Amino acid sequence: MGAMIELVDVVKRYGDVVACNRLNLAVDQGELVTLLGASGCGKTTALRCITGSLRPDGGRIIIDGRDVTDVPTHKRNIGVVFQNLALFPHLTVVDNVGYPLRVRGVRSAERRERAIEALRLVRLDGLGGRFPRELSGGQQQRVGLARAIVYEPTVILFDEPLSNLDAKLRLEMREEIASLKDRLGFTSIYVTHDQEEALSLSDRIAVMKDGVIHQVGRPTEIYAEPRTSFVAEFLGNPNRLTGVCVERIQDQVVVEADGQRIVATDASGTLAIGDRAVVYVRPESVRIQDGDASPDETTLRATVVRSAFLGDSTEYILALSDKVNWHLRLDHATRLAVGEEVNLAAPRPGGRAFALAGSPVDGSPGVALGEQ
Amino acid sequence: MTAVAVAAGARIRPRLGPGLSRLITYTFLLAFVLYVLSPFLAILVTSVAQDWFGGRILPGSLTLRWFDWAFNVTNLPGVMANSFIIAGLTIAISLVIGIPTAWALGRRHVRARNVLMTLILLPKTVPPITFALGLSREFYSFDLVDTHLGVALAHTTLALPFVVLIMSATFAGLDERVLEAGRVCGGNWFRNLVHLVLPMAMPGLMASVLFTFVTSFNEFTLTLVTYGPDTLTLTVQTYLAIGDGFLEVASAISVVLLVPSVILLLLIQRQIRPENILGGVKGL
Repeated sequence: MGAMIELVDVVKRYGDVVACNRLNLAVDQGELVTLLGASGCGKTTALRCITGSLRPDGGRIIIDGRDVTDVPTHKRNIGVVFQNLALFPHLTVVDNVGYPLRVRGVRSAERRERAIEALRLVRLDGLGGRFPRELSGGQQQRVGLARAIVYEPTVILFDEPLSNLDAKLRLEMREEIASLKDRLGFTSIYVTHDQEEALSLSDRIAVMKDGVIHQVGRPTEIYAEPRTSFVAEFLGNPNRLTGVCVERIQDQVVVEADGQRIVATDASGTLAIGDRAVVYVRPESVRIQDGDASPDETTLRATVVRSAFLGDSTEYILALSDKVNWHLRLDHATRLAVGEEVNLAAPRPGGRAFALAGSPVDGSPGVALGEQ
Repeated sequence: MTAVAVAAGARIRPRLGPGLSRLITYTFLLAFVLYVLSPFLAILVTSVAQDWFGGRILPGSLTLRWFDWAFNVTNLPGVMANSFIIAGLTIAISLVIGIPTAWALGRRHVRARNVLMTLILLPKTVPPITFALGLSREFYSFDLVDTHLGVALAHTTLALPFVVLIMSATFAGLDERVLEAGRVCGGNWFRNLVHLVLPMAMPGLMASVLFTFVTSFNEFTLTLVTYGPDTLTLTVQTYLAIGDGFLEVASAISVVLLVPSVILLLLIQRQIRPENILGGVKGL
């Protein structure tokens, strides 16, 4: 199966700002790929280039084998679910959903039938006669969803569709989109800044920053093996240790900071002994050590600074040194007191190490990534 | 001092009983209403009055004779037709010029927008007779005097500011994202215009049409310098009837002239709002 959507070297500039810097991405049939990044990273610009609302300054956009770079929006046969809903306020729900069919010349009886079917798919049966303003936010978003799928477009684009909903509704709609995708098998690009949304919905994720795609991969891959420090930093809420590379064992390095040592995978493979490095450690990979360390673990010493009860667990802030605080979630079986000294066991490797901008050692904290 | 007096003083209430204060309020209100409505009352009564001379408070008897005169002697149907034709032309011209202008002002980045707006408002802000004088000189040289088109063009200068103001606000209020949704759904510009833009702009369009109609229908100053025998309008005919000394006939014509304004007033009373005209457009 070939790619349904392909971005080839897509460039978009706003004056001096490069919003999209040579983006390359191929989305296969039936795949959901997320563009994930903070606001201003260029993900929405990329999406608007695909819808045709923006014309890229360079590169090609190919949908279903057809170069659509110069094709106007209304001829691209795409569905879009908008963040702000963008429903037609003067049309009833059925007419909103039927609009894509109407402009395609589908006759009114069939239009109605298909619109009602699409509404049934998003579980809005019986609300077709209402106006958008008479529906709740979640219902309106379902109408937007139905409008995007009703004409079975080649691809469906999601532009932060859940960010205007409250947390509970967001979860529900996420489920809804996932189940629709399973049933209908559409190909989609999903833009979001919410990593949880991205991790749970996507077949693959493209992490973007400053108009550049840093890494594309399956959610587990991106989470476990970030290729750049930005990706490591952006996904999850990792603990950091900034220090100096003191030893190399094949593809692993030992990084030392304030007398504490941790073994980490050298993500870029370029760290040399003496280089400044930052290690990102997933909180869930570390455990409280009650006894001796096993041979495949390293031990770090920490002092409990603060604790926060979260209901199902408790979060502890642990100081590894004056400058380095880690956070760790523990179930209620383990209770730590503030001020208590604990040993942390980190596996080998316990995280991923990246060269720190501003190497070599000069005793100052990293230029790009200082400690909290 | 008693406690009551202290309480009253604390609330700085006028030292009048509630009954008296209400009486004064209503007296003023009634005076105001009479002041506003009495001319209309006078016209209404005059238009149906017979034997109303010499200090009588009410006419001796009522008659429809003046309406009959108005219709037959002054050719009221023809004059009315002129008024309607001119108003219709004014609406058409104002919309054709006003809507694209409003679109540009409301939705595009226009340089010197303020200068443009000032120019559009100019005919409404200068003394009408000054403007009328210049206009009549121009219209004579273009042979536009005593043509429906000519009078309508004169009226357009007054109606256009309404249209541009109302429609540019309407267009500026259109949600670009909704229009983008229309394109994404596959609608070309024409379909989106017909199915999305027009319905969403309908409240503004309706308001523009109504105000343009009333502006033209009630216009006097500019009509006076551009009308001729073939383009007599109701306002001018009223004026001429007064000049001829037929106060009763003039009143009868005025009553006819009042009808559209009263209808408009009632419409405004019922609030011309998007949701009332379209059956639901909030939720944007």
